[in-house]
Amino acid sequence: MTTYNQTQPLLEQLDERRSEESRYRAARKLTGQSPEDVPALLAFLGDPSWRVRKAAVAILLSLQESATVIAALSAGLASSDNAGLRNSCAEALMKLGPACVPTLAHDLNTPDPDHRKFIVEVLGAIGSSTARQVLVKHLQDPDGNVRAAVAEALGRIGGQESITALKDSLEHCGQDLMQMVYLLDALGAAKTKFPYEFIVPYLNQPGLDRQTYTLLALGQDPRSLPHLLDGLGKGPKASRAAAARALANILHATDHTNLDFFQKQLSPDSPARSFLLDLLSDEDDVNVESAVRVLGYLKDPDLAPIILKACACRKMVELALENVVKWGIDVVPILLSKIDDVDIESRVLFIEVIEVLGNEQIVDSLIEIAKSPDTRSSEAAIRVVGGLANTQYIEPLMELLRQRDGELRKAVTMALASLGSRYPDEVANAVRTTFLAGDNRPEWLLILGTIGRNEDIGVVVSGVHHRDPEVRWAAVEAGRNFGIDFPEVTLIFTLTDEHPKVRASSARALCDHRSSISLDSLLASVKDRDPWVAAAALEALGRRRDPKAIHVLLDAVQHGTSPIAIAALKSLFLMNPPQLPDALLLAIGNKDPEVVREAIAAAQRLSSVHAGPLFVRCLNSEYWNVRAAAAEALANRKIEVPASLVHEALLRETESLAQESIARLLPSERGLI
Amino acid sequence: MTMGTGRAITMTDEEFRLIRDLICEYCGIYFEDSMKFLVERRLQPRLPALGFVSFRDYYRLIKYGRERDQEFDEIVERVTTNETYFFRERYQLRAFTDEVLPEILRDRRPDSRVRIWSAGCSTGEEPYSIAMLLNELPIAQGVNFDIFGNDISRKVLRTARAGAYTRSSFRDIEPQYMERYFKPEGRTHLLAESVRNRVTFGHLNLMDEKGMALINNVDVIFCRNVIIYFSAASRSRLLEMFHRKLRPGGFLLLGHSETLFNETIDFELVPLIHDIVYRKPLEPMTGKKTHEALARSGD
Repeated sequence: MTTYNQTQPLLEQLDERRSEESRYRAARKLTGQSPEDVPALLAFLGDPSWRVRKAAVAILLSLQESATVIAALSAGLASSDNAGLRNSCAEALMKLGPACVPTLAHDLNTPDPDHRKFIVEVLGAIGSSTARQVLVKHLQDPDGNVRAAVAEALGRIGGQESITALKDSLEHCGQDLMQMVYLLDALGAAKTKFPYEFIVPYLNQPGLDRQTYTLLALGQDPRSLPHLLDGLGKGPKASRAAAARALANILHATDHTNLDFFQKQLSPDSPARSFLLDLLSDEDDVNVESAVRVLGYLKDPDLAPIILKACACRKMVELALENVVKWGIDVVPILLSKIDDVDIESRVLFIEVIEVLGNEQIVDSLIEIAKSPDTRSSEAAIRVVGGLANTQYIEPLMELLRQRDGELRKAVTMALASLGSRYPDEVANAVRTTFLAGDNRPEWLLILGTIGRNEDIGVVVSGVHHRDPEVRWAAVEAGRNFGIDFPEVTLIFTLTDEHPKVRASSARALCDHRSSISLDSLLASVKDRDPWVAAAALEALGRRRDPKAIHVLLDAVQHGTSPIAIAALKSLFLMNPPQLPDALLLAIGNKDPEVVREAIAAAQRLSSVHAGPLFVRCLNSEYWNVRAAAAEALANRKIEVPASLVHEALLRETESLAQESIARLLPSERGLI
Repeated sequence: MTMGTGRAITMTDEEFRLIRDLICEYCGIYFEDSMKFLVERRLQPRLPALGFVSFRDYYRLIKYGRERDQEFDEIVERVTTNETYFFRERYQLRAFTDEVLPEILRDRRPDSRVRIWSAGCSTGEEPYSIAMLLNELPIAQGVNFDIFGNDISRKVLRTARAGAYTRSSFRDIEPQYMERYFKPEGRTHLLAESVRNRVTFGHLNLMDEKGMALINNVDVIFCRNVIIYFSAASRSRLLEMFHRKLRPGGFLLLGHSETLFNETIDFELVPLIHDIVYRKPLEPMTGKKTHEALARSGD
């Protein structure tokens, strides 16, 4: 077996202790085919640079299951002063998998307990049945740390054999607290479902709370509840948090219809409840989630603002919403009473709950909230008003629209449109009257368009002549909703508007009109000086699927302005002409990654034979998201890529998202090994 | 115009990365991967408002769109935690009035101006708090103060200029300030004009070198709970800029969870009774003289 001392001169010879980059390149050059390569690669496993170590691991793995390599890797776990080497050897061994077990089993006879411990960890990660058999034999290792590692490894592997062995050890470990701790931990990790009676002897034993609570949770026996509720109220924080987690699991799984004692144990002045409320601000998301779940069963509306506030900027926000909504309409007045006292994020959450539970009676309160200075809660409140209000709120909403500006005006417009979907005539008449009386806000036209009454077409059309481009734009936007009922000639006329926003909207609206005049107009608009107008025209042509537009779309794919190229690709995807493969080949050469991404998406139309090489080319893109998208496309379509190419790509890859996608192309990931 | 809340539209990891990187490029604010759910929630309402059905379309708008600057205004307002309130981190304001300000005023000529900058002032509670404190502080009477607040969000600046606040802004205010400087107006309380007139607001992006050229010779910079949102590279740029903008001996006050440890060695740490603050060192050669010389220049 090659030792590391023998390879050291080799290492020096190879890289002369140069820069990290040159060592990396030297490692990459090795193929494992010549005799010097393996010792050199093994030496690189101990390099200070993770990139170099990673490169060495990748090449060693490609050598498959060489006995020499495995033996050397196992020996590398013994290194006492080079953690990088140990970790690289461990990583390689784990990836090589069950083939390493015999060598590792043999090396477990080493007198060095640290070496044994690292071998045990690798066996635990390999997790095969043979690995488990080896580990079971070492549950009685003379070294405490090794025994603990074996237990942990068996817990991770799980399965009946592990559980039986761990249970036996537990029954024979006497009063050795440390051993009980790691054996019970392992049984918990193995998701062992023990009968309640088995766990009882370990309850109330000092130092074992956390472990026993975990096992109680797995057992899901309702008799566990009093113990866990008791555990919530006393002991160190870690144990109490474990009780909370266990409670959350059991309550979820059991029939808890008779929860009088539960409510009593968690009464407002109880230490258990107080702990749960504290846990809501814990750093650990799992603890917060447990607290939310347990408190959720109390159905106490007064807790609603506390829970929502605690979860406002955390990942369990959806869980918090779900739990609070379950408590019903009683929470609404409480949330409304507290809404001005909390931060913006909490306020938005309160409003989301109110949206689900509220009724017409709270609309006035919401309109007041909508007048507050912060956009997000105003917007949320306005949205809810739109869903709850009746006709008596048409005028207040219109007044709110007059008072607000910017994005909030948009929100009010949408709210009125939502109201209009339920009361079309009332809203449309009010808005139409206002517009015709001289209040020519663009929003009124948008609302008329959303409601879509044909009798309002004339009013909307009149908007295209207005001096304000926003009104003209709104008229065209509204016109889109009327489809072919909106006069085509009006839209063609607005294609010449001096404002690009109006022209772009006109182009989009023309896609519904199928005359040759509108086609010619769109083809002319493709040459518009504003790229967004051109893009809108190209997209409209695609939706029309008129073959006469194909040559224009093909030209546009190579346009120097990205929105135009992207729009052309989108349209070509829709139309799927025979020239699509060639067009996409050109597009993937674009220097803008967004254009290339669109080309990859459009390549869904191609057969695997045509799409494969295109995607493979993109694996070499300088942009991580292009590489990721190409890899995803290859993986989703199960297009085979040579393993060497995949390894090469993985070696180069530094972006985690792209790495994950490329790794999906490995034969093992594809389920071929 | 499309209807709908957009709440069902999710953001892929790729879209998050792309949008996150554009935001960082625009204003320095950086979101870790773990903050994806937050960014997604806060930007979701923009999709139906703009008629989009995916975050990809949204990304393309802010990458190429003619209205990208306006949209970045929206983004900044929605994704940054603009939450602030009057007399936030009171212990630090005490350090400012009791320890920092006396130091600054000690060798200052009576008619020279003291410049205080609230960097990233959001809805204005911080600079207004400073103004109210100065109103009450004996050693500040007769001294000319320039209090300036900037923010990248036009909306919060509008709120700041309007000076009308809801209850959540008053969670930590002493009653005498409430009584003396605010009057109720509907659901809000309006700040007295005398205080509003003491503060100037500007729409400036801390990452915009050209815009920042307008600010110089500052005595105290308040930049609290701002730099934690920045990427490492942006933080470095920002701190370097602060260093340039401060007079020698000028102070930098950060939020309680912020530190310059591992960020820069250009500032000296000053442990005060009420807080730990940072200071731009006096010039090594002339030391105090430079500070005096600047004070004499009245600039």
